[in-house]
Amino acid sequence: MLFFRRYNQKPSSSRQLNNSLHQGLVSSELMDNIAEIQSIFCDTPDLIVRYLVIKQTQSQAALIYLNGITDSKTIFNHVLNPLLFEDSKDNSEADLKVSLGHIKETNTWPQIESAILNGECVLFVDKRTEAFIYDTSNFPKRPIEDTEIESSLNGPHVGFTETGNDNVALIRNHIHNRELKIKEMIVGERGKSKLFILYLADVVNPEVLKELENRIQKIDVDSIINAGVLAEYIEDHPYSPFPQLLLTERPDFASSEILQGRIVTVVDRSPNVIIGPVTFDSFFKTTDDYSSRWMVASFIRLMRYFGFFMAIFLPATYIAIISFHFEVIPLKLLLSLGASRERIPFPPYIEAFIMELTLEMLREAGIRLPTKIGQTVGIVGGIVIGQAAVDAGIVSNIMVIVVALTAVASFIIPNYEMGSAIRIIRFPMMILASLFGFVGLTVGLMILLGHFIALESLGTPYGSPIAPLRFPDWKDVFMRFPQWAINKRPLSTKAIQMIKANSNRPKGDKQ
Amino acid sequence: MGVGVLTLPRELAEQAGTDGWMVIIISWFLATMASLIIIQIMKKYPNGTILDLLTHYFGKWIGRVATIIFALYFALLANVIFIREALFIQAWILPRTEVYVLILLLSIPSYQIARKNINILGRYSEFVFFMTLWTIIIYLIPLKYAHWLHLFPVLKEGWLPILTTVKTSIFSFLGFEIAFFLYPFLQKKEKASMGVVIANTLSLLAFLMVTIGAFIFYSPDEITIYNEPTIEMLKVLEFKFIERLEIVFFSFYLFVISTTVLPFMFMTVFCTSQLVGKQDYSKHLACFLLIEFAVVVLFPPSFDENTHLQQVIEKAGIILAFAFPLCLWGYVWVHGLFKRRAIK
Amino acid sequence: MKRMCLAILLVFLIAILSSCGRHVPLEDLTISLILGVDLDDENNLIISESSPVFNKDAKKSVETYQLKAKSIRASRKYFDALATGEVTAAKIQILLLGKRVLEHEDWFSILDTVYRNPTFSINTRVIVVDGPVSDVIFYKPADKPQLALHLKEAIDKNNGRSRTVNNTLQVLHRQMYEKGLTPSISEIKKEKNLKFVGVSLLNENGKYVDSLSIQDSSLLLILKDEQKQEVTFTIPMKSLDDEGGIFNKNELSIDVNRVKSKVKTKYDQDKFHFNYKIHMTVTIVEQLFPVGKVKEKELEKMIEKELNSRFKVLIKKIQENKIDPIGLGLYARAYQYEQYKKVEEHWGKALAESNIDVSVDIDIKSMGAIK
Repeated sequence: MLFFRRYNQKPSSSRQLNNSLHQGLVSSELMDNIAEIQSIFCDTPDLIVRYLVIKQTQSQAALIYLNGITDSKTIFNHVLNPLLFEDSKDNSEADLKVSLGHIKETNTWPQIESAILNGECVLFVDKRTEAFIYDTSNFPKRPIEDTEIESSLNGPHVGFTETGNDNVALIRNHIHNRELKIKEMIVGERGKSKLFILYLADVVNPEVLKELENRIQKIDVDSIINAGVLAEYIEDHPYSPFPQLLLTERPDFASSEILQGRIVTVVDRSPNVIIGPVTFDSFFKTTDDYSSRWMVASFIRLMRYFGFFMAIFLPATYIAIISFHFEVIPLKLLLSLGASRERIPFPPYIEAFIMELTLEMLREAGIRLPTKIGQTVGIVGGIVIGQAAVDAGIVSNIMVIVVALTAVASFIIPNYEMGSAIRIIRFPMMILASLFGFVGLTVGLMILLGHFIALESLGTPYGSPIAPLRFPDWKDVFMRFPQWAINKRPLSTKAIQMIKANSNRPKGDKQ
Repeated sequence: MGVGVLTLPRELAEQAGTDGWMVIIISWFLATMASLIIIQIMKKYPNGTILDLLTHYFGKWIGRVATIIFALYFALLANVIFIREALFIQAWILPRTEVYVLILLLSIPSYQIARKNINILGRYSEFVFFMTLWTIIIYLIPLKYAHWLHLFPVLKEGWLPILTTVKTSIFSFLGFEIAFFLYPFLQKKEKASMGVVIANTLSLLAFLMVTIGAFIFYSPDEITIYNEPTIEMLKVLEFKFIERLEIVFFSFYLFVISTTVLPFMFMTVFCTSQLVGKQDYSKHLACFLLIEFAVVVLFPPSFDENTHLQQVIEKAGIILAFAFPLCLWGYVWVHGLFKRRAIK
Repeated sequence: MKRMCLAILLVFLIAILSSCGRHVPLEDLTISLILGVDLDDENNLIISESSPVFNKDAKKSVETYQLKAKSIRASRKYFDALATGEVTAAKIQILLLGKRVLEHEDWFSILDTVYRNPTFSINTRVIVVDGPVSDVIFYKPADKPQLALHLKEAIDKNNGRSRTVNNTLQVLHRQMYEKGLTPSISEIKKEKNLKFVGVSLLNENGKYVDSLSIQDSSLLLILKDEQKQEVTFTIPMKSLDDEGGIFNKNELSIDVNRVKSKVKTKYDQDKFHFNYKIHMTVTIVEQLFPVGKVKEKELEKMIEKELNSRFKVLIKKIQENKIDPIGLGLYARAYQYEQYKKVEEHWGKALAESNIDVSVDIDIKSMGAIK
């Protein structure tokens, strides 16, 4: 009780203590305004207040900005320079000669505050009641480079960066169409993350769009750190292992999804964009599929699905067969299996769990290691530990093979979240198989299936085109039909305009 | 379909010998006729289920009684098939597990799938259908040991045994009376008749394949000895990489059985929730499953009891699925005639 | 949230409950690969089994036990007393029957548990041992793989080359129950080595009546229409003038490529008539007499004559023993149902009285690579 009483202070109901919005307006006295600024931004050493005299009107002025998040060159060359040194004879209305594109006027303090925090610079002029806001923001950013996780062989080597505007620009690069509409929303009390929702206005389903906007507007948090957090807030089924929104770092992939009729949400400060609504098969596609020829692409797609099933069921099948149904194995294999399992003191499911958990730990540790150490540890760890474990009699060599195959199969899946989902699903399957053998596997598959067909992504069925069976969509699911055979957008996006290409069959094929 | 097919060849052979396959064709014909009659009845009242139709024509109390009868019928049917499924699993795959543990295990996906609306059930059945299509192909493999001579001569004992066996094979075709309830949910009602005919034909093809396969594989003198010839037949399959396929096959077959059991369970709770007036099926379903579990724990089932219950249900099924629609259709048609005459 | 709690609760419940239905992992089992049934001198039932040993420390790789028991299932408890792991019958590859067992009539009922218990594998090959079963089951040659593997592959290969019938338990069951067919089982004998000697023929009650040699077994398979890919005959050309000499100069070996046989069933003059027309396409693979001695057409005729006479001998043997390993009862039932129904119970006798006619038609497809 004592323990609880100490922490009995109720947290304040509002999340920010100093949330009082300043009600006042900009005054015409320069010094008052400066005093106000300094009281808002106390303990802010990067605040720069530059007093100047505007040459044109000879009035006192002060330019205020936060150093570090503004582009100094722009300020010096395009704001300070014209203001200080230009003096032209025509007495036009535009007496403040600032050669910038984006200029705003305001007289409310909240706007000024957020402008300064956004990296814009504010100009106060004596005897004038408006403040001028110039867009000079330049947050630190990194150059455009290739994505690490979603790299492709043939496709473009461009990945999204952390700046929302740049990301929108990258998408605009692919779609030069006036129907590409962008909606801007701001989420988060303290973080004020900017979101851009991109879609094709004549293609996308308006209900889905509205659903997405509603969900985003309902979010009430301090800040959205990255796109993954946002995705978790707007998902339909947060308790499902399967991801219902696709996160990607590639502009070409995002653009192609917009063209299919889906909606892309760019989150400022995050290199991932959210694509929704998606279906299950979207997680198995990569850009390489479309850059290669259709036979190769189909083969690799099939292999991915095969890898998916293998990653979920292989360890469980091994456990089921060894524990319950050894009759299924042909005789010669049985003899060698028996000989190898004979030295192992553990029952099969414990052996499987040990190996699987070890592999998961190795994998997770491998992410943290720098590349140079990582490779050595990987080889040494994998080979030596595996071999040593077999020799010591802790696991059988067949188990090592099973685990290795499972790991390889789970890495085939292009999307990282789906791969993680599979890794998680594997364990309940193993438990079921160790309890009930093949029947347990079947029941597990039933549960998975039952869960899967009820999933929805932003209101559209997730399992399409398999669960609600939509045959026209099958052209791009298990096999990739040649490009000239796919003329319509997928039915799963519920797009309102379906045709994306006319018949484009290559001439050589015609008879 | 489902559990019936496992013992079907033996039951047919017991009564009709190797001409049993003709029984199936006759049953198919009858079942299709009955389904079409049901569709015709439902056309008169397209936006409600059979219960609404009965209430409309006969009044509230008859409607209530009909709901209770249907609920009991479906409940019993679901019970029989569910327990039979568990018994089969225990007999063939997991001999050391208790039946109630299996019932508990199978209840989990049943609860998860059947508690949502009919959409999900439809998607599930569709998917399972395509996924288990390969099992039929596996059936063609033991045919290399086949002796087609077993089927000859045709009609050796005459028509009488065939006609008397029809009532045994009807059980496998039962299930189309769900159309009574599904009709209002259909979006393309004109395709309903087509759909029903195709469904029955698919059942026919599957049964025929299994039965004829069993007949040509086993000698007519020995087929009556095997309890489940369908599964036994698969025991002879031996590939280089896998043997004893019947275990794998039967585990997959659980999917097909579940597509039979789940609609029946859904129908049961649909009827009971109509009685109470709520739309939420999940509580009723949970109750139903718990009752099943309790029944299995308190009265451990055996094959004999289950077969006995199955025969009771068969008789009820013949009435509800064949006689009842016929009478109802007649009544509705006559009613329509009178109405027209009254309007004139 | 409530749903998740319920699910977790259920899982725990199941986990606790399932400890009742325990499973035994692979290495703790004694997997019987060979099962033997025999009678000793006092007509006591002797059951023997052989299973591999997985332990690396053990010197022998196979353990074999033989004991007296009342039935196959009853013997399991005695085997359990002797072996390390739980004895399981799910993988039995070979079933050996001693010939003494076949000399009695109603032995088939011992095998009841094999069919009744679903865990038994029904693909077990059935082999008759000409002699005591212990000869074979304890045999451990140094130059062969484990006995179960060796026997199974040997019988499969022999069946593939159409020298012996393929009898699994499934087929045996069918042959025993089918009224229009009598069983035939492969036979092995151990002299210095194990070898296949042909096929044992049983009558409709299961009693042993006769054996067929390997060559005759091929003929039986052709009559049954169960011949596999390769059927080879070596035929002496008796009509040639010279004697064979040391190098058997009047022998000819043919390889039968395709066999088309048709059976016509009739019922005339109070008995059945079966008319076999067999058309064979053959390739000559070995010709020990010089080229040109006999023309192709004459060759064909000679082969036909020889095969016809061999078939006649085989059929005479069958009819004398009043059995029907060919399965002509099936044809009779299919085409002459009413007549068949009258004699169904004693089909062997009816077949002995019937008329079986075999005519062979040979077509030489090629003489091979040399003339």
